[in-house]
Amino acid sequence: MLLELEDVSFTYMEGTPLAQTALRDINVSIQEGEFVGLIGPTGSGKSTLIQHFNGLLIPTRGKVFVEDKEVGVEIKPAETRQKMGLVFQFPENQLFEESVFGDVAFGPRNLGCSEEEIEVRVKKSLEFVGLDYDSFKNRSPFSLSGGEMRRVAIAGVLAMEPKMLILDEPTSGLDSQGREEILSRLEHLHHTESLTIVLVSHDMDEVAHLADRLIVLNEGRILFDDEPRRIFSQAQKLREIGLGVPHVTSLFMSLIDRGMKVPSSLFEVEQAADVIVDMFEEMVR
Amino acid sequence: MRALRVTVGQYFPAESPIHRLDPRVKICLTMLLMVAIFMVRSFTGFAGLGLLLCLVVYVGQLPWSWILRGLKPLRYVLLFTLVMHLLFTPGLVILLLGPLRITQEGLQNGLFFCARLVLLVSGTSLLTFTTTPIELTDGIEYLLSPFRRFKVPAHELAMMMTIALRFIPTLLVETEKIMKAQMARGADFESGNIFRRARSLVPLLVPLFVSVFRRADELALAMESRCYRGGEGRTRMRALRMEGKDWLMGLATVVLLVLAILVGLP
Amino acid sequence: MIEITGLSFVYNPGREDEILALNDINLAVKEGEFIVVLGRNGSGKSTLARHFNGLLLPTEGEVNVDGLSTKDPQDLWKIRQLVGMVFQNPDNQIVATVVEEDVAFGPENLGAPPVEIRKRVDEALAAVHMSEYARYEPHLLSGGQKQRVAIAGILAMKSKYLVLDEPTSQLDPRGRREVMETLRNLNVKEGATVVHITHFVEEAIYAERVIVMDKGRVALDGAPRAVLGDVERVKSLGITPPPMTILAHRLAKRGLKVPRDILDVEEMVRTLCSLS
Repeated sequence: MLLELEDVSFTYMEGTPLAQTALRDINVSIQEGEFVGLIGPTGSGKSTLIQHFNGLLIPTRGKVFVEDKEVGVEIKPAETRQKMGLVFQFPENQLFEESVFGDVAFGPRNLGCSEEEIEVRVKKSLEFVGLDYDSFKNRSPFSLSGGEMRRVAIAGVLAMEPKMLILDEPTSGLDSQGREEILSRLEHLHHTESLTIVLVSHDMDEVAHLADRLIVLNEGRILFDDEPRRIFSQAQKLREIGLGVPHVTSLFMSLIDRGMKVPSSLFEVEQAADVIVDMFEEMVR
Repeated sequence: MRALRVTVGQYFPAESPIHRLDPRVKICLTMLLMVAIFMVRSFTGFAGLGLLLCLVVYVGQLPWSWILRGLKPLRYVLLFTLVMHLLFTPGLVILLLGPLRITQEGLQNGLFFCARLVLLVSGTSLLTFTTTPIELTDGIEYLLSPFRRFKVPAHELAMMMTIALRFIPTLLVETEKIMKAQMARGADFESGNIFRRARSLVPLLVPLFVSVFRRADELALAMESRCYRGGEGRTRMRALRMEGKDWLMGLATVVLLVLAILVGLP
Repeated sequence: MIEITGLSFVYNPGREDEILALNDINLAVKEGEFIVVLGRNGSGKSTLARHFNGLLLPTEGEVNVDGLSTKDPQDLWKIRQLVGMVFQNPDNQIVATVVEEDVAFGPENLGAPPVEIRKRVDEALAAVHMSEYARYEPHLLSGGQKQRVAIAGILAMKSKYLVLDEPTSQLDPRGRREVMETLRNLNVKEGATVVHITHFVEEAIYAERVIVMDKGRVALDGAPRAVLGDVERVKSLGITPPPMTILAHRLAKRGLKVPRDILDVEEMVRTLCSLS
């Protein structure tokens, strides 16, 4: 198993009057090659959870295993951070070098890679995020557009060659073009490199489309952990905790309420069109 | 993500007579207290001032743990002061530890300066514990305004303080975020010698500066959009007004301070 | 009324990196309107917004607010009082360390008497449903709450026109809903004129009028149904149409009698039910 959390609980500032429990009894495991969507309302513990995935936080209670080795005991947190690449929200705020090359090279350099190895990795990572190496390597990261900056920042984490890529809201603040670019690059990485991806998102349509498994977090606990279509059929519960369902799911739920025979587990527009056309053709017959 | 908790300079919300006192009175008294602490030359005087501070803590409904936590960052400075005086003051030897000779004067001086430091720090933190940042800046602005004719930019100084106070929590959170983001890329802020450590701060400081400049830029636009053009013609929602109780409290404390100084002078 | 005539704006004029950000814009914002401005990054949305209250001055053309020109330095402060502006990052526009002090900042700058300021602050906070947070420190609020405080700050200046430059782009869905509800409320109940810039197309569905910017020009301007219903055109301008509009197009293409300008789920449900 690539990542396993066993009865993980986490309390900020434990033992002080300001103590705040952010995670309670989390049990979750992620296999190599999965694309997992992590959703939950603000304050549900998503960012705390993903920082446990890469050893930035060590649980107050419970254990985290990376490749079956316990973090903090059998494997150092520093090594965990390399294996589990974490891209924070608004990652462009971490850029600091004079050139795109220098910034993407920061990670591999910290790992002690040779200069040749660094160049190979930078080239590869920039290509993964869809930026041309030769035209971007010497540019200042601060001269780029918002979407480009963000892709450079993601490349900076990819250059660590992690086994898993964890992204916290990688599309927030971008326009629809920037959003689509990032998402299609992630899809590509998942398919061609079979990289394991954990995507934290608020946008149900976005995760529904990409992830083959969804984890829904609420008040520090796991509420659901299942295939998207099975989770979306619990629309009522999702709405209760302030999350929506994809537009198509919402449409089909309403149609079912009005007695139409459509499946409750769809969320893609193409599939929806097929189903509706079929339904009407059947009615005509 | 939660920022580091430091009690120095923090406000402790409560409804006490000290909290309700006019900030100008409190600022003036704090300044007077400082003078007193420097003038007092005996332990009896310090005890008097200490008692006065304890009275303020009690009336101000402040928790003792806050006062102690405020002193915590000071512990190394205190230790250093004490040790330096113990080791380097000539006089009557009371203890011989190998080559080290501890003198009575050393002990006295050490304790004396430590007491002075403790009083200074806790005295000033009483001001910030019982006064909101906005009252504090308002008070400073009012107190400085007579000096405007000498080109002291009273309003600008106060505005700068307000903005600094407003952005400290934001920037603490931001620092933590950037630090974690760089750690996720293998940065190491903890090990290595002083030069390595200083260099390892570059990936933290550059993004932080970039962010501060961007924030400053956006804040300036937002302030201009809200018709800000300096102190000229500006009014305040809450004008400070001295009331009977403010004068009375001020007077009472002044009397107590003078007494403490008189008792404390050799 | 805000009238924009022949407005062009050039960044860094005469230099190598000179950019024509706005190109001959003609636009009128009438009182009481709710306008949503869409457009990809770099289309000139923010540059346009900053002309509304004279933060930027036209290279060519003119911006008039209730008959006052932004080019006239004497009218500038009156214009900034009339046109309130909310920015993208909720953290970088709150000045004071207490919510109500921040809301008071605008009227204080205008030199209003203390009693009047107090009244305006209380009313403004009530209008955005933030009264109970009056004594809070801003950094303890959520993003959506911070933006509502920013809106209250403008209301306290008695601004007629609210110009919001991507106020929802850094918020979570709840915060976005809060801000949109607040704006709609102010528009309907208080008659505020709203110009809301966003890249969330779903926020345009309920507007009175949608403007799509592209390459410094106004590319589309009309009712949401007319603008967003033109799926191909909207896509070519870098905007993803609402999912139900895309679905409507697919269904229409495949021969169902579905209008192509359906905007939301409710309407789609009604249409499909009426077909069967």
